[in-house]
Amino acid sequence: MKKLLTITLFTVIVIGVVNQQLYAQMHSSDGGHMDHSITILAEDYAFQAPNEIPSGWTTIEFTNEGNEDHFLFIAKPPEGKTFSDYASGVLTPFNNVWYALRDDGISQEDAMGKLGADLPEWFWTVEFIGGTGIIPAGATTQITLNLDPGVHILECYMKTGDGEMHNVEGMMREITVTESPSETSQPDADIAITLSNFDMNIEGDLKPGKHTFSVHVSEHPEQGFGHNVHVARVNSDTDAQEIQRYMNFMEIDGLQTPPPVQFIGGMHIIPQGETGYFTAELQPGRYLFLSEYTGHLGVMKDITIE
Amino acid sequence: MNAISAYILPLIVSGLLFAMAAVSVNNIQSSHVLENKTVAGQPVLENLSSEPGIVEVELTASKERISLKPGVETDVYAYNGQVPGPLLEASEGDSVIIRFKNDLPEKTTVHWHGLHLPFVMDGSPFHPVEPGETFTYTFRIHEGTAGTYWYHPHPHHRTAWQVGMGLYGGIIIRDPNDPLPDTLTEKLLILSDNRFDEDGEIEFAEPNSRQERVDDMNGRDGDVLFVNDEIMPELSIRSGEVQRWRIVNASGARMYRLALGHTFTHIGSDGGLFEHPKEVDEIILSNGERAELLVHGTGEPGSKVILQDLPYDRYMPMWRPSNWDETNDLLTLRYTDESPVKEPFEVPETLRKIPELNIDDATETRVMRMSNGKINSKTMDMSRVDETAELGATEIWDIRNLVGMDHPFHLHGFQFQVIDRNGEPVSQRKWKDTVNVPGFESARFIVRYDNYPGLWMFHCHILDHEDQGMMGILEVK
Repeated sequence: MKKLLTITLFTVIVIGVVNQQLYAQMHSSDGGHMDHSITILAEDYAFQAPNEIPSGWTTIEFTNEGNEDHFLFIAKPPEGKTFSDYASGVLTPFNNVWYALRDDGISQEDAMGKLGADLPEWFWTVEFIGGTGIIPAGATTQITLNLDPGVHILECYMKTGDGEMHNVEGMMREITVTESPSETSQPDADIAITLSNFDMNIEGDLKPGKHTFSVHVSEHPEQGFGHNVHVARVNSDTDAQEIQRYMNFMEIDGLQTPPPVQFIGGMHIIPQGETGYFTAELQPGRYLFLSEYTGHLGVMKDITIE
Repeated sequence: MNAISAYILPLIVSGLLFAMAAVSVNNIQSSHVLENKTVAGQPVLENLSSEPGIVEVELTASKERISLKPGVETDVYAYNGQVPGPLLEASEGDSVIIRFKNDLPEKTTVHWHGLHLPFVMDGSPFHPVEPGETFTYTFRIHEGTAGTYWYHPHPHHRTAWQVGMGLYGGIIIRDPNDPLPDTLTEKLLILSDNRFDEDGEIEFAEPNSRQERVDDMNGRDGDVLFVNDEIMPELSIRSGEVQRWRIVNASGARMYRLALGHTFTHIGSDGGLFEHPKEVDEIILSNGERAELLVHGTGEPGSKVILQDLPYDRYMPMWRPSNWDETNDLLTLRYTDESPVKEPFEVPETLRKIPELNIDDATETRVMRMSNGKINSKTMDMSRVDETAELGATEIWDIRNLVGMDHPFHLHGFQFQVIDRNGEPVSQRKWKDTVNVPGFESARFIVRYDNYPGLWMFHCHILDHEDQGMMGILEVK
C-alpha cells in the first residue's frame, strides 16, 4: 500500500492531453485578501520567510530571487513532529532514494520500494497543504491558502545542476502558524480549477491578462496525498510528454534548471475538500496546465490563449 | 588590481618602519623555536630581537613527517616542524616582524586571525606566498588588543586542506596592565580534530565520494580530537588554585560545547577580556572563536575532572552524523595531592572597560544572508568587491542564517561588538571577530573601520564552506 502511495506521489506520465478553450462568467479580482499577506523569498538555496504567521486565509507573495527555478511546497507534519523530525525522517529517505537512482542506477520501481520501506509511519499522516507552482528566476507569484495552526515545513525539491535536491542544499525551513486568526477572507477568483482523481476541470474566461485561479480538490486520491497544478507557457512544437517526464522527480535530469518550458506558477498539492488560490498573468499563446497526481499518471490541459 | 595597488603605499611606509627597526636587530639565530621555553604550556617562537618593543620571529611552513597519534608517523604540513605551530607571543604596542618562508609544495598565506593590521599583512587570499618564496609580515599590536588569537593559512579553495594538514598555531597578546596577576598558572589549549586512514595518514574525502558530499555540507569533522599536540592529555591543578585557560577552536568544522563538571568563570573571548567575568556551566566555541576561562580548583586533592565536548547539534537534520549526540572527552584535569591553597584568588568584578560602539553612529546596515556555500546568493569572486565602506565609518552588519545549520561568520581586520541576537540585546559588551549564527537565527554586530583601508574578507569559518566560496570582500577606502 505504502509503495503504491509513493509511486503515485512521484510518478508522472501523461494520460491525456486535451485542447480546451474555456468560457465562463467569473471576474478577475484580488478582492480583500491583501489584508493578511506575507512575503517569502527564494534564493539558491534558501527561503527567507517569517518564523510565525497567524492562521486563516493568508496570501503568500513568493518571489524567486535566485538564478534557478523554484517552487514553494508546504507540508504540515502531524502534531508533535518538528522541523528536525521532518528533515531527518522524511527528507533523508527521499534523498537516499534519489542518490540510489542517480548514482547507483536502481530502477524507479526499486527506488519506490526502498522509499516506502524507509519512510516513518507518521509520514502517511503528513498533510500537504499547498504552495506555488514552479516559477523562474526573477518571477513573482501569489497564492492564498487557509492555514491551520501548527508547524509547517517550506521546501523546494527541484534539483541543482549537480543533481542535488534544493531542500537538501538548505531550501527547507519551518514556519509556525499560530492560533491567532487572521480576519481575512479568501479572494474572488475568475478562473476555477477543480481537480479530481481522473480529471482537471477548468472554468472561466481564459483571456490575456492577470487572473486569480481557484484550485479545488474534489476527491482525495485513492493513492496519494492530494492534487496540484503547474502552469507552463509552451511553444507550438513543445512535446507535452517531455514536460511530464521533466516534472518527475525521479528522472535524472528532472526538475533541473533550465526547464524545457517557462513555468509561471500554479498551486502545489492540496488535499481533498480544500481550495487554494494563485495568480498568474497570461499572454496570448499556448499553455499547459499540468496536474501531476490526478489519475494514476497525471493529467494535462493544453490551452491556447487568444 | 587598481583597488589592490591602492594599498601598496601604506605597505611601503609600514615596511620602511619595520626595516629600520630590523636593522638594529642583532644575533639573528637560525633556531625558530626557543629550546625548552614554553609559554602557557606551549613551545613559543623565539624573539630574535633584543630591542624592546620588537618581536621578530621566523616561521616556516613545510611538509614534515611527525607523530600526531602515538606510535604512528604521519605526513603533515607544519609550522616550524610542529603541529600546532609554536606560539607567537607579543604585547600591546609591540612591532611584530614575522619572517615567513613557504617550504610547502603549494602556495599558502599566514592569516593572523583577529588581529587589527594592514590589509597587505592580513594573509588573505590576495597575498599568496608561492612555494619556496618568503614574505615578511610586519604589523603593530594596537592598545586594547590583548587577548588570545591564532594563525592559520588562508589560500582560496585550500584553507580546509592546509589547516587539516596541520597548519595552525596560537597567539597570545599581553596587556602590560593585565588585571589578572601573572602568578596564575596559564594554559593555552588549541582544540582540533582530524581523520586518519588505516595507515595513519590524514584522510580527506575522495573526490566525488559520498563522504565528500557530507564534508561539503557539514564541514570535515574529525573523529580524533586533539588538545594541542596530544590526545586526551592530562593537566594538573592544585585544590583551591585558579588557573587561566585560553582556548582556541582551530577545528575546520567541529564546534565545541565545553564543560568541566563544575562551573568556571568566563572572562574573555575573541578580542580579549570581558568587562565583567561570568560564571557559566559550559560554553560553545565555534570555529575560529577563542575563550578565556578561569578554572577554579574546587575538587579534592587527588581527584580528577574531565574537560568534555558535550553534544551540540549544529547540523541540518538530514546531514546530522549518527554520533552527533555523543560526548567527547578532551582532557583530564588531575588534582595534585598537595593540600588546598589557603588563600583562594578572588576574581575582580571588573576586568576592563570596553568602549561602546554607538548604534547612533552607524551610517549603514549591511545584510548578510547566509545559505549553504553562499553569502547573499553569491560565491566568492576574487575580482569582485561585494561591499564598500568608508574608512572610519561605523556600521551595523545584520547576519541572517537562512538555513538549518550553524554558520560562524568571521570578518577580517576589525573587531566588532555583537549587539543583538534574534532581536534580543546581548547581555555583555565584548570584542569579537567571529560570531556563530545557529540555523534560522540572526545576529547583528556593530563595527568601526579604523586605521586600515583594504580589501577585507568576510566568510563562514567552517573552512570547507569558506573554500566553497562562502566568502565575500569588503572594501574599506
